[in-house]
Amino acid sequence: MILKVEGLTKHFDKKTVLENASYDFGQGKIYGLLGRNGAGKTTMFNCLVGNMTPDSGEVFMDFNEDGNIRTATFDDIGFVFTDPHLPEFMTGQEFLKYFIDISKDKIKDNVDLDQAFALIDFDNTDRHKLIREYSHGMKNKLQMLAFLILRPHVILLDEPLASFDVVAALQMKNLIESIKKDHIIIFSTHILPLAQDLCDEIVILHNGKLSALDPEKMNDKDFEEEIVKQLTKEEADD
Amino acid sequence: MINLIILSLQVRFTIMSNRLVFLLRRIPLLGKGIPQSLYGKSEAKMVFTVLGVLHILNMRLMLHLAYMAILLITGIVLSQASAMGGIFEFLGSTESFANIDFQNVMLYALTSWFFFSFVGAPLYSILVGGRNHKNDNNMINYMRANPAKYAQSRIFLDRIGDLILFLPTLLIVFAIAGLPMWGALITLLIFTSCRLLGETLNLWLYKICGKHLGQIPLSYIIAVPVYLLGFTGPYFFGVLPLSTIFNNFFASTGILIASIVIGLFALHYIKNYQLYMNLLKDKLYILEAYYQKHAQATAGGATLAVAKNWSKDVTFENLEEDKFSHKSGFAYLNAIFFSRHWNFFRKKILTRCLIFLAPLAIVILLAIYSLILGEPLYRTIYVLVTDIVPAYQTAMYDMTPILFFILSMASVGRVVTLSIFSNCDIHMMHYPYYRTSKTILASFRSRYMMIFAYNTLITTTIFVSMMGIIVLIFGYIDIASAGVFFLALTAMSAFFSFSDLFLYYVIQPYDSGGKDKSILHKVINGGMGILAWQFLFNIRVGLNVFTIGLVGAVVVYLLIGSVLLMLLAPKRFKLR
Repeated sequence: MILKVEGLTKHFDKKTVLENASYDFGQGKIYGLLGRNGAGKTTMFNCLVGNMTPDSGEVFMDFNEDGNIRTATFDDIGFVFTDPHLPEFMTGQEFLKYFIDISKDKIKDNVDLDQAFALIDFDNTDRHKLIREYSHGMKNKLQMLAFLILRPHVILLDEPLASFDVVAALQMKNLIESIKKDHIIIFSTHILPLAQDLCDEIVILHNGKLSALDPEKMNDKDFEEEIVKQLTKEEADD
Repeated sequence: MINLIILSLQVRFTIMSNRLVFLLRRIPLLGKGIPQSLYGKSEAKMVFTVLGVLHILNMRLMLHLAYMAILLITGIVLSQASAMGGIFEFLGSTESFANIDFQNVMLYALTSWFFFSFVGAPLYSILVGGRNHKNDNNMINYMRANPAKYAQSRIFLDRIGDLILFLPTLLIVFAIAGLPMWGALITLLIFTSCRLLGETLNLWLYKICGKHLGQIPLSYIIAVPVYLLGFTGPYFFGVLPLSTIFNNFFASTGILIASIVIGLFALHYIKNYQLYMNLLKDKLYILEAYYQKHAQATAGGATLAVAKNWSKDVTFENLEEDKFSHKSGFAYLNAIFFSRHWNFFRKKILTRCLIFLAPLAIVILLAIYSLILGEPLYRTIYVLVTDIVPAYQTAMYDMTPILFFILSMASVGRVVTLSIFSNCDIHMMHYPYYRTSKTILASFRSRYMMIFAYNTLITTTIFVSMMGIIVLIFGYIDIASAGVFFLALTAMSAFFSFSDLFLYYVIQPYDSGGKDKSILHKVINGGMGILAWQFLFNIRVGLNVFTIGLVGAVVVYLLIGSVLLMLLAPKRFKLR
């Protein structure tokens, strides 16, 4: 399975954020998307998932096992936001029940709510609290859980571990690694050690374009320098 | 200080010009022709600054002239009343404004002015009570201006402004009143000293107790009689002996020296005051809380801040009990939403119902009073309000169009819609599955039914109140008219329930901060307001004609609205 991004372009007024960005993301890998602030990482995610309409370009799902290529839909792609967007008047349990209800056509296995909440360390009290009462980390976990249940083909994570404590971050990392073989996972981060540790491939978004970092550089001691070099080179150098 | 004043004006009008460019760029079609680069054109903004300064001067002049006009009118009324033997004689005469003695008028006006300006001086402070709160915020919080210099520049500007405006006015008034010209200059000097003393008093109070006069309730208790005395004192106690005052008092060296000393003392205190930052920050903090609470006030009194306040009405018991487990999907979401917000909405509905039951309560009291008198109720009402049109039932029903205006304000559609946005959709709109056609239409339907149910509670209360009044006055109800009346109320409920929600789905005017960003939305709401006003003042038709027209219009509106909803909402229902 491949997520093919072809010629994605998006500008806001006269500022071009994405310019003919193209890349193929393959199944079974965790991709780290690196870019400077304002480079367009979140914009790209929003375009992929359909929250924004790109000015041009296409996004395809290539299920290469059966030669089936089609335009990606929002059913194929799940977006885990940096700041979780959850209805605060519901409890965690209610939100998850609602989410499972509306996604039941797309969920492959039956979901046991107890097991699901156990995945993110939510006890009975937490489940029945209003989301309004949750900490930022708890909201993030609940949001992540929704997508782990849904298991879309592609999972986009926007700075996913920024607000997690050490233990929760490790749990999440393990969880992401455990599901990667059946999915395409792309996450944006500024934390280079995390990218080095978790990612199979680094993709750089710079000057509106996507490019791969040489895989050999990933475990190099000059990794950070190489990333900075890639993120600061001028457009003419491309 | 001059540079700070100039900077303050530049900041203020730069913000204003940016806001103007922003608004112009949002005009459909025309806005596309206005380039974003206009924000960067400093020459254009300098023009705005100059125009803005002229505008401020013009507004200040207008306010001054309005103040003078009030004093002049007060002087005329008091002078004429005094000449004619009393206020009732003045009010009852057809020649109240004949043979006005303007010299006397000026003396009365000046007496009032003296009260306001000298006795009331300590209650006035440009710093703590003046205008330009946003400018204070910009200069202190964003531009990081030196708070002491900024505060002093505000006081300085205010005094200069008063000098420029009052000097010619006082010269003219003194000339007409037959008072010495130099009296105007001395008066202005003493006035300036008193105002500076007033600023000093407020600063000193803040230093002593952390509050200025505007925050001390006692000052309002004192201010009211002062201002009342300013207007009425000359009538009861006569004008001040201004000639004597000027010749024997103001002209004395001692008074002159005292004024100068007081003024210099005040200036010295103002210059060396150390707590400007605290004072201004406190003022801005209080104002920010006020503005947040009253942000985005609408005709229905629904504000985003109010809509977000639902949680204090939520009961936190029984959250484990899933009483809507028999529902699923969006029906489940909406059921929980309305259940959790019920206490919040119930208060809104109850307030409105109580207001509409008030007339019935009054009539019940009148009925009891009539019983005591032994008279039929309608005769009692006729005796109390002698020029009312005889209260036949049809005449009462013919006032039904006015209810269109009343319901435009009483409908809970706006507050429910805002609550839906701020507490649910603002989050859920981020998810594409929430914005599919099927979801949007399904959620619209269930939400509309809830809002319609809420508004029908209100219209039913109006119906019950009206029927109660009719029964008490006439002893019977015309069933046919009552039925038509109920139909009219139901149609209005259907209309207003649909309208706010429909506009929300089709325009979705709110951004993630909850601000209404759509000019179209504001224009449509403005148009609805104008229509409602027409029903209040101009549209007078019988109940039957009104109801037929209304039901027809509502049916057409709902049909067209439903089609537009299906066509437009899937494209437009997203976060701005």
